[in-house]
This record gives sequence, C-alpha cells and structure tokens, in this order.
Amino acid sequence: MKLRKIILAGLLSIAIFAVSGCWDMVDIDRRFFVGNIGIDKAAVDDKLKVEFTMPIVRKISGEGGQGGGGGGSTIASVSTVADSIHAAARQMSHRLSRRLFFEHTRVILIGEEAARDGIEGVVNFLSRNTEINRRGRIMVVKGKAEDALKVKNEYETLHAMYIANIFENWMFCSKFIEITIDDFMKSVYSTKGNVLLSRLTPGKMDVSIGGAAVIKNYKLVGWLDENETLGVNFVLGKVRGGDLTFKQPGEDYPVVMSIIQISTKMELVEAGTYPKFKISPRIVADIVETPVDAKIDGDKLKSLEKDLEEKVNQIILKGVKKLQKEFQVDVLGFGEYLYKYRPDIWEYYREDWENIFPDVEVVVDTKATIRGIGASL
Amino acid sequence: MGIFDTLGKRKKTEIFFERDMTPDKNRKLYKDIDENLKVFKEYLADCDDLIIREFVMGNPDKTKHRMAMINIDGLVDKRLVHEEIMKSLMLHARQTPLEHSVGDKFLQLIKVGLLTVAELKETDNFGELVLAVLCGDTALIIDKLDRALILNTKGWEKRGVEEPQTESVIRGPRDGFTETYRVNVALVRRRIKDPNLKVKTVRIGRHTRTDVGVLYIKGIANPSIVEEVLKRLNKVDIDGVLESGYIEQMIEDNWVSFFPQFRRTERPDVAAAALLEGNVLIICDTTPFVLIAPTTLFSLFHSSEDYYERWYIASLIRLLRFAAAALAIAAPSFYVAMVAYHPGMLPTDLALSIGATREGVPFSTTVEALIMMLSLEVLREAGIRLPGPIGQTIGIVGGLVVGEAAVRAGIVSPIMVILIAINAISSFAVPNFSVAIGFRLLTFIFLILASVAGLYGVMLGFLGLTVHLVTLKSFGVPYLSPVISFKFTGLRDLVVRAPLPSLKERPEYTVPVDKTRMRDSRVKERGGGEENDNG
Repeated sequence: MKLRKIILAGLLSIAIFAVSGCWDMVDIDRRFFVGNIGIDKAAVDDKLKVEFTMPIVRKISGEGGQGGGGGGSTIASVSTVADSIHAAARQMSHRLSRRLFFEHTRVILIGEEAARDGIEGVVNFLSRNTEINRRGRIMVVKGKAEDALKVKNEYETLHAMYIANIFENWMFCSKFIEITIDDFMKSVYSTKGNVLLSRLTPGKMDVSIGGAAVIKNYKLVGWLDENETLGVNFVLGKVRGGDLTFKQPGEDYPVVMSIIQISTKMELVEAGTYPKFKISPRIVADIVETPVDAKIDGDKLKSLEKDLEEKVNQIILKGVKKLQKEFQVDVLGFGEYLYKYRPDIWEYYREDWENIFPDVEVVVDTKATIRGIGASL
Repeated sequence: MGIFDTLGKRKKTEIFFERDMTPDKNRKLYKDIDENLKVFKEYLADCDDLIIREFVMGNPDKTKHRMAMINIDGLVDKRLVHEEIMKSLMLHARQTPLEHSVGDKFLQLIKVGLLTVAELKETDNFGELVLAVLCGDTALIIDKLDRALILNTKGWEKRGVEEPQTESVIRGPRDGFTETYRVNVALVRRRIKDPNLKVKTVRIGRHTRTDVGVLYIKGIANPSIVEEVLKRLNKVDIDGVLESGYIEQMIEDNWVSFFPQFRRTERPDVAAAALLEGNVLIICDTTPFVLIAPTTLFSLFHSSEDYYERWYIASLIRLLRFAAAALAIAAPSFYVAMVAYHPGMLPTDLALSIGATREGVPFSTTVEALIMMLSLEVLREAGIRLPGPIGQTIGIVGGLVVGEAAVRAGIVSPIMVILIAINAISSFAVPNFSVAIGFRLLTFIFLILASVAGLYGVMLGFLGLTVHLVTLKSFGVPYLSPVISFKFTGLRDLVVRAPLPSLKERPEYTVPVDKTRMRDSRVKERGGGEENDNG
C-alpha cells in the first residue's frame, strides 16, 4: 500500500515534466548575456534598428593559458533591423550560436530619433518580456544609441556595467533621473506615457549621464539640462546628495555646500481656477568650500543658510517653469498628488488637467540648516 | 515449496536452534561423570579447541572424587584456571579431610571452602553448561553429582580501552567503548553510580548468541520506551549479530528512510549523558558502537563537546554544523539549478565568471557535478579501505588528479571542484557519520532533481524531505521534536546551546518520568554560594 503510494507520487512528479513541457535547461555556457540593448530608428521604413551587446566570456576570463585571450574586443555587438525588439532577438538566432539571454541586461538605450517617433515599442517589449532584469536602467541617448554602444570604456570589463554603475553615483549629484526599468514601467502606465528619463550623452572615450529626456505621450519632446533636472528632482523628493555652489555678494570665490539630508513636502495651498501648490524642501547641508578669509560665525551661518534657500528656490522654479511652459507635461506629480490626497478636488480638474497644468501656481519655501562647517573655523 | 519446507522442518529439529538453547535446558545432567562427558563430547564433537581435563581431587591415594574441567582454549584466563581452580582442587584440597563428604554436602564444601574463583554458578542441565563453556566459562563436572559448577574464567585476548577513532574531541574523556560487553557496561556504570541504572541482557542470534544489553535509568527513562525496546529486541530472530548495526536495522521504525533512527556512539560519556537525558542504551557485545534510542534529527547534530565548552562557542559551532548540513545536502543542486536554469538569479559578475570557467567544458553542468561527486565518493571509499599510510597518499594523489589535472584537461570547471570540495567537507562536519553518509546520498537525489527541474526540483526535494522527516518516528518519538511540538524550552538546547544552568529540564523527546535536571545552583554573588556536595 505504502509502496504503491510512493510509486504513484513518483509517476505524478514525472508527469509534471511530461505534461507541462517545462524544460528550461540551458547551460550557462550556452547563453549570451546581453548587457545593453540599443534601439535606433532604422534608415528604411518604420522599422527599428536594434543592437545587442554582450561580453565574450571566453575573452574576459583572463586565463592566459587558455589561448584565445589577447587581442580583440571583449564585447561583441550585433545589430539587426526588425519590426520590434523581440523580433530582432529572434532574428539573432539565425546568426548566433547561443541563445540571447536578457536576465542580466543592465541598460536599455533609446536613440533620440527613435524616441521622438515614440517609445511604445519599448514599453510593449518590456511589459511582456519575462526575462528582462527589472532593476536595469533605461535612458534616452542624445544622438544615436549606436554611438553610445561604440564607446570603448577602459574602466569596466562590461560596457553595461559601466553605464549602469554610473547611476550609483546618484548619491553625489542627483542631476539625472534615477529610475529603474521597474519604476519606469509602473509610471509609464499610470501617467499614460508622461515620464522623465535620464539623458545619456556619448563622448569619445566615455559617456555622460546627466539631464533628462521629457517624454510626453510616449514621445520625446525635449530635454532638461542638469540643473533643471536637479530642480525637478527636488520636487519629486528624489535628491539624495549633491553640491550647490553660489557666490555671496562681495566675495570673489563661491561657497560650495553639500546636501546631507533632505525631505520634500508638497501640499495644495489653494484650489481656485488653477490650483496653487507649495513645495517645501527641508535641507541639511555641510559647508565644503568657502573663500579663504571667510569667518563663519552665527550671522554668517544665517546669511549662508538664507542664500542656500534662495539658490534652491531658484533651481526648483526654473525646472518647474520649463516643464510647465515649454513642454506642458506634468511629470512632477501634481496631478498624482491631487488624485491621491484630494480626490474631490481632482474630480474638478481631471478633465482638463493638460491645459490647467501649465498655469498651476507653484511657490517654493525652502528651509536650510547648515550642520557641518568643515575642519576649520 | 517442497525443498524449503523440508529444509525448514529439518532445521527445527536441530540441536542448536534456539538462541537460548531452551530444548537443551531440559536435558538434565547424569550422576555418572563418564555419562556426562559422553554427552558433552557429543555436543562439542569435532571442536578441537575444547579442553577437557579429568582429574582427582585432593590426594589421589585417599580420595576417589573424580572431576572434569571443561573449557575452550583461548576464551579462558589460563592463569585463573591454573591458580584458582586446578591448584585449589588438587593441591590445597589435600589439607581438607574429604573422605566422608558426599552429595550436596560435598558440593557445598567445594563451593564454600575450596574454589577461590570469584564468580560461580550451579546448574543441572546441559544447555546452560554448554553455553557457559562457549562463553568462556569453565565447567566443573563432579562424579556422583547431577549438578555441575560454572566458574567464571572469561579472559580472552582483547583490545584495551582506547581513545575512540570516530568521535575524537578536543575536550572530554579519552576512553572509548571496546569489543567486550562487560567492559562497556562497566564504563557506563563507572560514570553513573546509581542503583537505578538498570542493565537487562538479552541474547540474540541463533548461532552467535550475542549478549545485547539494555541500559536505562529507572525513574528517568520512560518505561514504555524501555518496554518497547525490550519487546523489539526479543522479537529479533537472526542467525547472528556481529555488530550493533544488525540490531539497529532489525528494530528500527522505518527501513526506507535515509536517516538513522538511532544515535550511535563510541564514547561512554556520550552514552552516560544520553542515559541522564532519559534515553535507553543498547550495548551489543563484540562491538564498540553503542546505540542510543530514541533519537531525533537534532540530537544527531549535537556533540558531547557542546556541553563541555562554553555556551557561546558551543552555540556557534552548532550553528555552523547546521549550515554545513544545508551545504552538504543542497550545494551542488543549487549550483546546477542556478547555472543551468536560473542564471539571472546570480550576480552578473558571478554569472560571467562561472560562464568563463565553463567555457570549453564538454559536459553539461549536471554531468560535470556527477563526475566530480562520484570520483569523490570513490576516493573516500578507497581511502578508507586502503591501509593507513597508503590511504594518506590516495588523498593527495586523488586530490591532485581529480582537482588540478581534471581542470587543466578541461573536463571540469574549477568552480565545480571548489563546490564539490566544500560540499564534501561540509557533509563531514556533521558529527554523526551515519547522518553524514545519508546526506551524501540525498545530495545525489537533489542533484538529479535540480538537473531535471531547476530550483523547482530542489524545492520539491526539500518538500518531500520535510514530509518524510515529519512523519518519521524513532520508538514512537517524532524525529523532528522538539520543533514539531513547538515549545520554547525545547529551543534552549537545539540549534543553540543555552548556558548550562538554564537547561533545567531534560529534553522533551525522551518523555522522561522525572523532568527536572537540576535545581538552581548558581552562585548568586561571590562567596554567597552554598557549599556544594560533590562527594
């Protein structure tokens, strides 16, 4: 009886494989780890030119004895023209000996032209693909994605790691949009295609990530520069660090402040024809650099704090104004705030929010505290 | 049918069939010494190691008390026989007037006044007598008496008490059990000087008639468990018991399981500790391995040293053991599942470096792991079988060949070598070898599961393992207790070992009669402690 049960259990567990057909076994050395996916507009038709880069594992192993080693790039890059990213990946199976594997994909780069045409293709691909690493990064390249992938960096073995790791420096600058594929997918659906993505500018030997690409209704409409992005990040409460530089009247050298701690609060002050929002960042900062002869006492600290507040107010307003006037796209979360916290008021604005947003009144009330003043008085 | 039936029937009529020689016990001794010797020789015909020494007691001129001394060469202490039996009866007896004593009076005289042997017994049947002789006693048959004396002269070549080979400790007693039943019982008795320590001996084996002792402390051990052990032992009908492993497999609850349902030890201190916790010991003659029942999975992870060392260290070491056990079961299967099914779960750098090491390896990860694990098992087995000094070389040669050369030749990847080495070492970090070897077997099963279904398979395996462990019992005690009947007190001596003064109660799994282990005896402040009565 017991034996019969055991045999039955055994047969049933075997049936799992026979019935479901789940046989995913592909050894690690039979896969290509795609690091980057680059998406450009193809020269012909409406198609996309998709480029995949992947490390050639044999070459990066660093085992001299294995032969092969020296010479040639450690990164292979293949591109094809196809209707969609998935189709491009499938086309690759005609040309590559191994399976493309996306779970280690770190970076998805969208070329400027392709982004202007619309990023729905990318969103479709990401929303259905089960392999893509959701902690990867997605950004828009100023120029062509191809050019960004061509950059031969000397810093990291993997191109994708190089780009993705730049985002880790977010703690020190906050001048780009820190967003993962997962965040992107969440917000792109809830905002119907209005998002900010980081901007990547390819250089000769390296790339630079800074500023933001403004996506409105799944299409790239323009760019924010680094400082405007910082301002937007203040509103979004996504600033984690970074330096602020300003000159005090009558001094030759600027004061540099480093943000240590920050919290931003957004609130609705007034709901007239146009709503009025108040943004109040609370900043704790350290003094990093001052002019040589600066004497820091109570009064000086007060004036520094005041100047810092002023500086932050300016930065924020500049970013917000640009989004309101130039792009007229609410990626700042005003609508979201109303929807979440004041649904009654949101009911009133919802229909015509696109037209209301550019005229929303924004006041900024920064409170800054200086904590550390450095090594000397 | 036919032939087995007749064989069975014929066997039943054979003379040496019953393990305690019951039929022969009905065969009474005769009064005539020649008659008795004749029967005796019938029993032990063709036994060339039998010694029969006939002699006349006291002064041969005066008396006509014929006697015969029977024993087996090599099983008796020759000095004892010479000095205490032969000399007493032949020389010292001359000073005793014997002429007129006959019958019972004569026997009493010999027993009380002449024989200087420490232990003797009287018997009136051949069964007992023959068995005693075969056990190393000396039989003394006296003319004109239908009773014989059994003199304890056991003394054969034996190994002394040595340090146990399989359970070495850094701190703790160095003596270990030997192959002699009495010595083993004595080693335990020496530690527990308590009249409540009971020793019940059962003879098992139709031919070997091995002494199997059941030891327990009355008032601590649960009587129903003791009864169950005795009941199961009495049921065993086997031709021979050469090692306690026979007993273990004959009376265990579940023979399908990979897990031993007894703890086995070579150390008297472990045995004594087990008795104090309310366990039952099964000591088997001719083997130094003593069985402890009932047992739980967790007690197999405990070592005697856990209680001798400070509790921080003991707890850390225990944690390490559990971690090692997890590695021992699942390390290769996890690796295979990750590499062959879910490389996305590895950090990118690791995935790439694993990929790089696998570059050029002709086999799939599963086959690679199987090759390495099997060759390791072969090495281990060969290392045990080979004589000592060569065994060492096999380790080195095997390590070099399998490790270095196989990697160089590109048959396996270096990561696999590291992994299998860690796996093997981990499996032997578990103090009980029977569990360790069970884990090695499980490793293979998990590996196969991982190779057909990835992590899903591994989880399936763990699920099955859990189901099995939950249902497994050792003498009615759940194998996973005290986790299974979750009680906080049980956790004090499980994965960590709480400070000794806080272990006031005996473990729950033995269902002890007396639960209290100690009273609060901690010294509260310096000099404030009561005087201890350490005897």
